[in-house]
Amino acid sequence: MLTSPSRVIKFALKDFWRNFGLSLMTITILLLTYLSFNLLVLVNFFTNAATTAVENRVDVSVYFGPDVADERIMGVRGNLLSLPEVKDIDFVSRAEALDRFRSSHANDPAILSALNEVGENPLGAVLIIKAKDAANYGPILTALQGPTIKDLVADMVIEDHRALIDRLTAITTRVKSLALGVSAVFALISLLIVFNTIRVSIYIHREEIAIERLVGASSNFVRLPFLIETVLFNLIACGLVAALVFSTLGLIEPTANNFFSVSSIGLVDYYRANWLQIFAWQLGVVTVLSLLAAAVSMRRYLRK
Amino acid sequence: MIRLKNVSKLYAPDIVGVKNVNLHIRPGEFVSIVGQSGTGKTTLIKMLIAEEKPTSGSIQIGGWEISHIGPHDIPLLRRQIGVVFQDFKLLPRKTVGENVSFALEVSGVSARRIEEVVPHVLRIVNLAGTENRYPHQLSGGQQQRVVIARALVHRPKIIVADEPTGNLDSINTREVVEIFRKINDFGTTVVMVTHNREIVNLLRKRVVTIHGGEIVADHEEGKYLI
Repeated sequence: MLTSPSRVIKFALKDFWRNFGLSLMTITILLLTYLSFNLLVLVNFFTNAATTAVENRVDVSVYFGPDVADERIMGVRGNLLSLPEVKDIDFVSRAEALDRFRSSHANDPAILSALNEVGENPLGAVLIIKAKDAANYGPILTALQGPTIKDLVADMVIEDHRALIDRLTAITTRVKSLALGVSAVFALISLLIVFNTIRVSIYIHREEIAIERLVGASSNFVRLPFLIETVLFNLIACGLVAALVFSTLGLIEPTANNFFSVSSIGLVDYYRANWLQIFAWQLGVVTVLSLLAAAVSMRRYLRK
Repeated sequence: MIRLKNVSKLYAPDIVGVKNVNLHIRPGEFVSIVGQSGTGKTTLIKMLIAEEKPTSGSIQIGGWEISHIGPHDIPLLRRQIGVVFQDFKLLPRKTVGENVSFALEVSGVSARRIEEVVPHVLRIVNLAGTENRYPHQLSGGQQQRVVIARALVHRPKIIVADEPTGNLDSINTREVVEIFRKINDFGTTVVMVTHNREIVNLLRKRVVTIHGGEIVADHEEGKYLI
């Protein structure tokens, strides 16, 4: 075995350092590629976050009559929670419903005085139902129309909710498809750029490759340092992008929280939980492609 | 040592590199191959190092038939022949020492052995102390001597030189030719393609003259005739 690993690694590191301009150019292009991949990850994250935020705002509020006892309402809640489509049900008692009504009409003295005229609390308790998926409200609404529940309900505009839910579901599905399509196109463009960058890098080395062959170097002896260098370029570019992404996530999250009106969108947590998967995939795909580009490009110059 | 039998190289049906070349070079000979530009001298050299394959005929080096040599055997062949090119073909991003070492590294020679041999060979070609310089920091003559050191370092039985003095002034030309003469005196076979009438006549060694791709003259202690 003439191709000593230490010798090949030494050649790769020396070439990396002595062709620093070319190394820097290649790393920059790879860095931009990794950056664009992470932008796609972010776009997908925010698309999902937007969809979730919209879905979380969709709920069915069921207003019960003031004479319906809390125990019966809690029974209804228990029945509805057993449905697989239901994610969560909030119970708002009569007193809470009155407080909320008063605070939401605090600047409307006519309504508040009318409420005082009535004397007792005219409002019933409320169940606020959230489905696991915005598309799954159908079975919940059907259950609410059952004979044991229907008679207890004072107010529920079922048809309006159904239309809204259907429309939102259609929009979020389209947004997800669009994001996926845009991501695929960007990924393809990035990979083509990587392929050509590595080809240019090998082209610049073509005379050296030919000389090494003339001096008696085997194909592997010539090829391996370039392949090691290619892996090195990818490790550096991916590492720099990972550092950049992690240092900016903390800055992006508060703005995103404000935008989506949530306490925490979970961006930092998402990257912390999935960083290995996210970066290992990117590094794997781009490195394999770079190695393929290097091997294919070198074949021509190794023939002689 | 080197035997060519009816060797022809056609680049296209009407473009002849060499035609029906028969040549036998014995061990330890110094052979100058002369002729005008485009007569097939470089084609002959390229076939000896398997950079080109003959269209027909047989080429044997040390009894090894190389006319249909496989890609995996080409490096093995080249490690047994030292090659000197007119345009030097030094690796520009390697130092002098690294350029010379490279010929040993490709053969799997140990680092310790390389450290011993390289300075010694550089001394032979009068380049002691230049190990850490890059090719662009040397004169043309010095670069050609680095190439000779690289060709010599693995102690080949054959040195093939393609116009080794083509880019050198007369002083450097004489120095380079003297080095080849010394190498030959130690028993190494030297095959040198040249245009240089003065050095061929000075050497008074075997001269093979090629014209139109064919050998037209082959004289021991010959002269540049064309």
